[in-house]
Parts: sequence; structure tokens; C-alpha cells
Amino acid sequence: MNNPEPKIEIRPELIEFMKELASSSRDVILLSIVTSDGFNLKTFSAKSLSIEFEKLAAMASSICALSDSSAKQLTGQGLKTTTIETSAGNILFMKTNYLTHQCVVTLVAKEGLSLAQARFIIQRLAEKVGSIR
Amino acid sequence: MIYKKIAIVGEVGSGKTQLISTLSEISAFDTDVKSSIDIGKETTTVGIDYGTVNLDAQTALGLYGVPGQERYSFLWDFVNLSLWGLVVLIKYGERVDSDGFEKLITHFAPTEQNLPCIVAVTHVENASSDALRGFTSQFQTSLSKHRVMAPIMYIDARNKEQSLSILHALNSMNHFAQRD
Repeated sequence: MNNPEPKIEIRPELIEFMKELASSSRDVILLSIVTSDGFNLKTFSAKSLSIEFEKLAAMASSICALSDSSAKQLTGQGLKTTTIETSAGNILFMKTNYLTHQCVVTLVAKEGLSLAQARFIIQRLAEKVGSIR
Repeated sequence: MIYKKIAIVGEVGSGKTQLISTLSEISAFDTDVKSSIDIGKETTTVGIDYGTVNLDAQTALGLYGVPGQERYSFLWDFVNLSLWGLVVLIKYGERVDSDGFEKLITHFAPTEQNLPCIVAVTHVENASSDALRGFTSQFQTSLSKHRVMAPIMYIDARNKEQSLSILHALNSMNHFAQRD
């Protein structure tokens, strides 16, 4: 059975901006935008990464939903960013809106990119995605 | 207090979040988000829904609801450990997702894990007995193929008594399993 997928237009300015951010540092190895219910919209990843986009989208949506629910229960406020720190680098997730859809942007960076730099890049992406009309 | 885990799995719209909300004695932890495709309702679960219910003075049950779509199988692995019971929810309707059901039964492997399992069909309010028999026979075939002895129940996940009947059934199955 074929699984249904959302019909969401990927605007050229979104692709251009993602390309620009992805090439801004060689330590950025993945940039992705997925819907909050786990469908991949656009992903740029280094050739060295072997990733199933469908699984990445599902994971990003789950991690954001779990983080958001935890944040609301513990602090009364919704999620801004979720960070996973590893010895090989950082993974960041941020909620945003694209057109009329709730989405999640994901950044995977090698250890050469500081957490602050990674946070800056994903914030820019989330803001750009949210400004597209 | 003894703590036991129940996994509640099933296709989109089968009532996992509702069942946990109906049963839980704490405010349920839900991870529903707005759906970007037409699934017949506005939101869908993408993380782990969680609630608890006391079975008796010494036993608390943790209810873990996870999405049924295969792309979320990493969440199936999160909950598929030291389970006390497995509940597979199926939404009654024209569309029969026997493929998705097969994948869930294969992944959770209740027979191999000696895990009591119940199949609960929801949204049956307007279904005739004959229609229900026809609908569930397909799942019965799949259960037989996997040598899973699981009762098939019909419930309204909004109804507390009907929802509790699932827990009572699992409790009885666990008692029998211990006696054997």
C-alpha cells in the first residue's frame, strides 16, 4: 500500500537558502525541513551520510513533539530548540512554520562547528522558513 | 509498588491517544501534532503518549502509546522492552490495513516474547455483527499465521468501562500465564 504524502510546494527561495547555509561551513553535514507529523519536505546531506529521509523525518517529528510536551509539562512553555550533543558533533531541532504548515528544521554538524554557531545557523533557517509566504 | 508496562499500538486514527486519556489517572502526556494530510481528524501522534493507571493497591500500569506507521518503528523499539501487555488497536472501516497489522505483530512478536496481547477494534458503533465478523476475520488469519492467541475485542475508546475491560483481560491472561 502506498502511504499518502502531503502536497506542499517547495519554494525556490527555500532551496536556495538551504543550499547557502549548507555550504556556509563544511562542518554542516545535514540540513532538513520536515512536517511536524513526520514527512520529509527537503533535505540536504553530505554524501558521506547514509540516511533514510523517511526515518529522519519521523525521528525529527518525534523528538520535537516529545521535547515540546516535556517543556510544557516542566516549564509551562513550549519548545524552542532541542539539542543532542555527541562526541562527533551536535544535532539541533527547531520548530517553525512553512506556509501554513507546522514544521521542524534539523541541523547536523560535526564537532568543528561550535554549539553557538550551530544554534545561529538553525535559528536563521527557522526564521527564513517562517518568513516565506 | 510494582510497575508494569503496556504498549498501545495501532494505525492512524485508531484511538491510541483517546484510550490512554480515558484510562490514565494522571494528566496524559501526549505528543499529538497537526496532521498535514487528510486522516479524518486534525491531529496525529508522532511521539510517545503516556499515562498511568493503578491496577490494584500494589500494581501500577504505565500506558505507552506509539504511532503505528512503520517509519516510527524506532519508537516501537523504545517501548518493546519488559512489557506486561500489548494492545493493538484497529480502526473499523472500509480500508483494511492488514499489511500494517502484520508489521506490528512481526515486530512486537508477542508469542516469542510470551507477551499477552489483545486486539481491540474501535469505531464500531455503527457496524453490524456480520460486518464486524468479516472485518476481523482478516486479522484473525494474520494472528493465526503468527501463532498469536489474542482475543479480539470491540471497544469505544471514549468509554471508561469498555477501555478498562482491556486491562482486565490482560490481567487475566497474565494470571493464566503465571499459573502455567
